[in-house]
Amino acid sequence: MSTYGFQVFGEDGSLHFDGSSTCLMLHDSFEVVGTTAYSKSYVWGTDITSAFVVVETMLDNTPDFMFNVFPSPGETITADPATQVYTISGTPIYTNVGKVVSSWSTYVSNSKMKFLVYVE
Amino acid sequence: MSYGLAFLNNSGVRVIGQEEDNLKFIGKITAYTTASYAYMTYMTFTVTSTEFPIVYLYLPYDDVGTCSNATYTDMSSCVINGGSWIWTNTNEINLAVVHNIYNTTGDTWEVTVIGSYGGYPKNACLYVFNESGSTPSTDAYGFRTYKADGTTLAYDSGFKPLIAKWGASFNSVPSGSFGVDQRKLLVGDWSSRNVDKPAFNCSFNNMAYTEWNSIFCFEGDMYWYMLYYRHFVSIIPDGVNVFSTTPSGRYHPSNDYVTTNRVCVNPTSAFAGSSGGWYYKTKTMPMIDGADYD
Repeated sequence: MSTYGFQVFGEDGSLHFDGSSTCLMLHDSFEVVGTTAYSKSYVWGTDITSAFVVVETMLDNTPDFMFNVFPSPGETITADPATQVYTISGTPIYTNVGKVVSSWSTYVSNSKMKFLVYVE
Repeated sequence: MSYGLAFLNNSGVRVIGQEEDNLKFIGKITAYTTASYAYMTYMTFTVTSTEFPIVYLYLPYDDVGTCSNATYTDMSSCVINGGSWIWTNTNEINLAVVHNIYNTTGDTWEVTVIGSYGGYPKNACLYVFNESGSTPSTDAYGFRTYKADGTTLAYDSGFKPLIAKWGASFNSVPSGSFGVDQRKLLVGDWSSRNVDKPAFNCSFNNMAYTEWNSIFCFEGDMYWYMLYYRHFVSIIPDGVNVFSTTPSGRYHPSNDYVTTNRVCVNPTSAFAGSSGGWYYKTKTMPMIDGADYD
C-alpha cells in the first residue's frame, strides 16, 4: 500500500480503487479507420512517467480477409521532456500473410483499430 | 481532457483540470463456439456492449512437455534456468490471441480467438471491459468524476475499474528463438511496484496476454495462416517473468488441429515475405490490483 494517493473502499471494506502512483490509468482512447495516419499528443504531466499503448482491432470479418491479415498499429511514441509532451503517431499496417484476397483494399478501409493509451 | 481532479504524489489534492477514463468490467466469458476456416478451427463468442469492448485473454500455462535439463520440470524454470532451451511439446494447444472484435450489429460484438496451428484454446479466461460512463453505479458510496460535459462518467468506483499496476512490453523476438524479460519487483524502475496478486479470478497462476505476434503456416491448398507465438507472464515471488518462445512443436503440428498435407516450417510467406522482420509487438497488462473480477 502506498503512503500517499487515495483509496476508495466499498461498503464491505473491499478496495475498489487505489490511486497510488504506480497505477496505469486509461488516459485516452481513439479509433483509426483503415490506413489513415494518426497523431495524438498529450501533455506529459510531472506525475506521469510513461505511456503504454494497447491496440485492439476490428477487422472486416470477411473470412478470407480476417484470417489472412496481420494488423499492426505501426505506432511510434515520442516524448519531449522539455515540453512534457508525448506523441503517439503512425499509420496502421495491414499485411497480407495468406492468400490472394480480392477487394483487399476495401476490407482494409472497413477495418479499424482502437488505441488505448495508458499512462503511469 | 479539461476537467476533473488529479491526485499528485506528496502534493495533497490539487485541482488541475484533468480527467481520466477508465474501464468498466462487463463480464467473464464462459461460453463460446468453434468454427473453422481453411482447416483452421477457431473460437468465437459474442459480447453485448454499447461500445468497442476490450477483451483480455488469459491462458493456462502449459507444462505438458519435457525440459532438456531434467532438473527443471516446468517450462518457465526450463527457460529461465535450463540454459539451452529445449522444451518438448508437440501437442501444444493453449497458444492463442484475441484476433478480431467485430461489430455484428447494434450492441453485439463477435470476438474471434485464434490459436496456434489454427486451433483454439481449450482452457482460457476471457475478461471483457469497455470504457465506463454509460451507466452510473447504483452504489451509494465510493467516488465519481465526470467528463467535461458534466454528465458523462469518467470514473465511478462502483464499477470496480481496471487499475493496472503495471504493464510490460516484449518486442522483437527472432523467429525460431526465445527471449526472456525478467522483471523483478524492488529492482530498478520497478522498485516501487507492490502488486500482491492479479485481480482476475482465473484459476491459472501463469497468464499471458499476447498482442501482435505471428508466423506463417502453409498448407497444400494454398492457404497460409498465422501462428501466434505465446508470451507468458509468469508470476514469481519477487516479480514476474515475461518470456516468449517459438511455439513448441512448431515443426510438428498436431493432427488435432492441423490436418495433414501442410507444412509449417517455412517462415516466409509469398505475400508478406519473411516473418522475421515484422512479427513482434507483444505487450502485457496482466497484473491488475484492486478488485477481483469474476
